[in-house]
Amino acid sequence: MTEYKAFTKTFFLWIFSLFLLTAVPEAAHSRIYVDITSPYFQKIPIAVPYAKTSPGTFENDLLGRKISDILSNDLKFHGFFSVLEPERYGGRADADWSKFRMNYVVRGTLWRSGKSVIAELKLIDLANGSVIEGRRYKGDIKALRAMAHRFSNLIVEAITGESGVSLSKLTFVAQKNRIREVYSSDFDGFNVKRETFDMGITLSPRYSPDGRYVVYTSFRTGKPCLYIKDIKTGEIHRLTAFSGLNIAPAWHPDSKRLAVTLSKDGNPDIYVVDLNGKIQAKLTNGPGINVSPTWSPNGKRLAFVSDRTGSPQIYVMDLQDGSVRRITYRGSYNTDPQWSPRGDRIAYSGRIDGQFQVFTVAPEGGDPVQLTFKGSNENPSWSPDGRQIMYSSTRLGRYKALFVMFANGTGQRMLLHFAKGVTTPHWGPNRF
Amino acid sequence: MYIERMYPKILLAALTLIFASVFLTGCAKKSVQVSGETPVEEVSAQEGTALGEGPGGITGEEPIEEVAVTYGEGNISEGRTSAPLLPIYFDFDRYNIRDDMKERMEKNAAFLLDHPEVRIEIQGNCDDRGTNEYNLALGEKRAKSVRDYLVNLGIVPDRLEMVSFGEERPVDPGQNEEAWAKNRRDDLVIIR
Repeated sequence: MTEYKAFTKTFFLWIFSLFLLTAVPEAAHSRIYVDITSPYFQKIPIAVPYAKTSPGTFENDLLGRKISDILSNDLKFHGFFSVLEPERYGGRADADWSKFRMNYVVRGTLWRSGKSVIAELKLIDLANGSVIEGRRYKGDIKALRAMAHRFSNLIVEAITGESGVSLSKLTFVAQKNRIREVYSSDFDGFNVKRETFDMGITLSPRYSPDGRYVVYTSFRTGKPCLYIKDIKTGEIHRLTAFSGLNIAPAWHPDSKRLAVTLSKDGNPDIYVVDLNGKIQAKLTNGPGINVSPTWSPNGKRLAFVSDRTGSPQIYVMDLQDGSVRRITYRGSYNTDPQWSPRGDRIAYSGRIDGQFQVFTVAPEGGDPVQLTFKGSNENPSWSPDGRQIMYSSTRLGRYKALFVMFANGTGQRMLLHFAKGVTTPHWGPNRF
Repeated sequence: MYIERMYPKILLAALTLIFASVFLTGCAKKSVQVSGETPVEEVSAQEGTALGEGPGGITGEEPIEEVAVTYGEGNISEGRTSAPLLPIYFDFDRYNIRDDMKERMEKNAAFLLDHPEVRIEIQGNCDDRGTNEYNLALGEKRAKSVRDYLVNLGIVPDRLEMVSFGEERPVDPGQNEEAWAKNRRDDLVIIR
């Protein structure tokens, strides 16, 4: 909001905004946001015409379309924007928006020289023609996607006042040539990158809430140990290597410790370890399997899977008084709990009619809601804004693909289909 | 010994142990070191001297034939289990030793008792239904069941390593009961 400097603004506007900032500092922040949680909410109408290009060659025009397409898809992905199809107005930036009852338009200009581009993007409020957000990005052509994601993130924040998912990343395990390695991708499934080269089995990669690390289990020594990779430096160090299991890492919301499952004392139990792998606490003490912990957003409760009653079910532990309560009672196989970032639901996968489906249930228990019905659907993971759930599904065939849906089960769509199946996906924070 | 949640089976395990020790001591020619703590010297001096003749009573000398190694890497019985050991199969979401697997367990124990130089890794596996993390824990429990059973039959725990692969290394990728049943398995892999 205060970063107008780089843009070709009129001198007048500059003075005006400066005046606003100095005279009434609150004014700059008192924008009225669209309440996307209201029951009467209707999708926000927005147009993203093709970016103008210079020089205006055919090839450059395709690039201009591409950045607009990425932006449109990013906005649509969030579920609360209705993006006007460019075919309806020829993708022209000077269309008569009043005819289409648009609230916002995103104008773009692209300058290209060789392999580098400058993209100038502006979000315009059509109610008064003002520029709400504007950015100029410079970089390699390959960074076009990143530029679109960055601006789409600003659009979501500017219009809703909430953080979206455009800057988030996914991490998952994919099988190729009989080995299973950790990969990462952008939230939209593009830009897939291999993260581990352990030539074996890896499992359960999870981004820290601060976006600095990814933790995962690897069998690189032949036994399941936990490793942590610094995303910036690429450095990997071993977190824990106790005898037996070192699996199922779950980041505490403070990014400084993890709940993990270890079996060093003979039984799979849940422990809290710090970033040096030092045990801080033992949270469960049998009986039977205790695995797959997930923290509540405030870190005061922990959901996990236990077979203490003879079949795997989901339990919630109050970390202040240590009390444990079972929250799933339907079916004989409920696993993989993931606490919503909003705190109000726990997603899990449960077995029904021989298949696995994604459900959600309140942390206090009660009636679960079944969200998937086709194929087997497992490993749910919440989007950082808590509006969507990603999961692995076999509905397209034998190899698991990544799917995503809104938290109420609507809008189920494929995100990524990769190698010989994708498992244990995790949706990282919106800060990459 | 951890026998959590297996109390009804303690009696059974104890009976099996008694049976096994009677059976093994009755049939095996070599001494059976049930506890593994006090090695029993089998060559008795009296027998040696009783034969008279030769220096110190030795009547003959010949090199011992290297016993042909019938086990080892490459020889697989089923799944990934080293011959002549046999893998142990489990029911869905269970880690108890089924009744029909007890004979296998006794054979496995007998082989290990006969070959004290052999160390094994017990590898717990699951079918690929269910979730990866839970299945890793389940595989660990399966490995531990076999380990505890072998310990009850007199195998020194130091000879028994454990690892769980959960559902990550299926031998049969099929999606039918036959394939799943094959994958719900503990392999006993000789590591020396």
